Amino acid sequence: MKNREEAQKGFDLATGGLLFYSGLDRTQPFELDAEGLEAAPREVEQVDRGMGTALELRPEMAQVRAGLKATEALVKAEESNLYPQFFLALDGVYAQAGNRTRQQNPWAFDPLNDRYTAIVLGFKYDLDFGITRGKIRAAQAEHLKVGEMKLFAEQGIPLQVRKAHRELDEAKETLRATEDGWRNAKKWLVAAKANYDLGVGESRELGQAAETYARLRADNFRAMYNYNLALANIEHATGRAVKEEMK
Amino acid sequence: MTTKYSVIRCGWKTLTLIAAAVAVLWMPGQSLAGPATDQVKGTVDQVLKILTDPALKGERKTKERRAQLRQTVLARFDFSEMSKRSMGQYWKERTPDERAEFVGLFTDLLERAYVDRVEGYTGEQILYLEETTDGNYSEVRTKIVTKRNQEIPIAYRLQRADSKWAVYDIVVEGVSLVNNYRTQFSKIIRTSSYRDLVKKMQAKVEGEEGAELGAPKSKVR
Repeated sequence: MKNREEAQKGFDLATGGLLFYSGLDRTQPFELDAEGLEAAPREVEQVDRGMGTALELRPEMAQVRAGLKATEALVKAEESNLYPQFFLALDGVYAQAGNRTRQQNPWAFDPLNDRYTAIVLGFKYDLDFGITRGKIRAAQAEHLKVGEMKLFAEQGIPLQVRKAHRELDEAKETLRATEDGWRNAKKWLVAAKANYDLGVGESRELGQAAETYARLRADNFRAMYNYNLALANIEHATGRAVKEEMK
Repeated sequence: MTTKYSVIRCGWKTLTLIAAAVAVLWMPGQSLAGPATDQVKGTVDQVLKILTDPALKGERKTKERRAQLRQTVLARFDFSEMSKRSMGQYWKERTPDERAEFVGLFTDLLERAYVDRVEGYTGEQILYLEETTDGNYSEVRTKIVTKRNQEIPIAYRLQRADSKWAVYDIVVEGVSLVNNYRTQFSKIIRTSSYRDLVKKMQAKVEGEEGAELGAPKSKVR
């Protein structure tokens, strides 16, 4: 009874979630196109290969790699402020009016009869008394922070992959055990029912057999769910889930 | 030259296939379907025909339908052999009268149980998988596939008398009914007595008869 209530609660919650994500409201008819829970075994990568894949595919790693590039560029940009900015300018005028006398007097200026070329070389340098150095250090600190995050991710992600594999092994073992358990309970139920039908078995034993069968079948379903979840966790830990999602 | 070579190759291929087919058919005790399967299938088909016959449907036809089902089942099952095997070592200790009484009770109860069970048939698929024969003994393995795709393995163990194959044991989900009964009967006889075993079976028959007359019946199926 307790299991049934728990299952109903889980079912209602999952149905509500599905309705929400599919944009439907609770008043609309909703039926799942599924035929019960089944363990869906599939091949998973070896732990070592999975760890390599994770470092390549995990979105966190992609973020950290992009962050490193960005902060490196920021450091370079700030460092460029340490040096003066040189510039070169070129200026020139050519004006000629045929009906006007060209002025030879250096004090008389005729813009309609004029020509000159000028080259200007200059540089700009801010005297900020250490502000630039401070900005560089801030950018470098940010870069180091992202670098540390990368190191942390490189250590943590393989650990997650290993943990996901261990959980899968455990889930597989539990699934096998519950499989054997409910099959044996089924045999007990068949035997108890046969004895009851012949009048040589107690109804109490039949009840116990039925209860054990129901309990072990529920355990088996839970183990199937955990096994499928463990498989999904490996996909998530190796980053394959996101890759599939993006396809 | 090429044509000749290809003809020779094709000939060898055909010969190999024929040899393989002959080898499979000649393998002792192994065949996909044989007389035992045919006879079991015949009985099962007959049972299904009774169950799906519109003229035998409904509450009012229960008695007639059950009578026909019992007759069909009785023709295929060897209940005396089943009783003997289920009693095991205690069979030889029984007098002819006791044996007759026991076979009667055993047959009655098993028939009721079987008929009860088959009456719950709702169009499940029955697959005949394999037959293994060794002299006068055969095992026909079948599988019932429910509408929810659940599979129930059922094997019939048969013994041949002349050309007729009779069922002496049924293995449901890997549980041999005869082995199970032997264990249970032996336990009752050891801890109580043979008379107590018979008393229990008689009480069950009376209960079933009472239920048939209208008393509320157990819903356990």
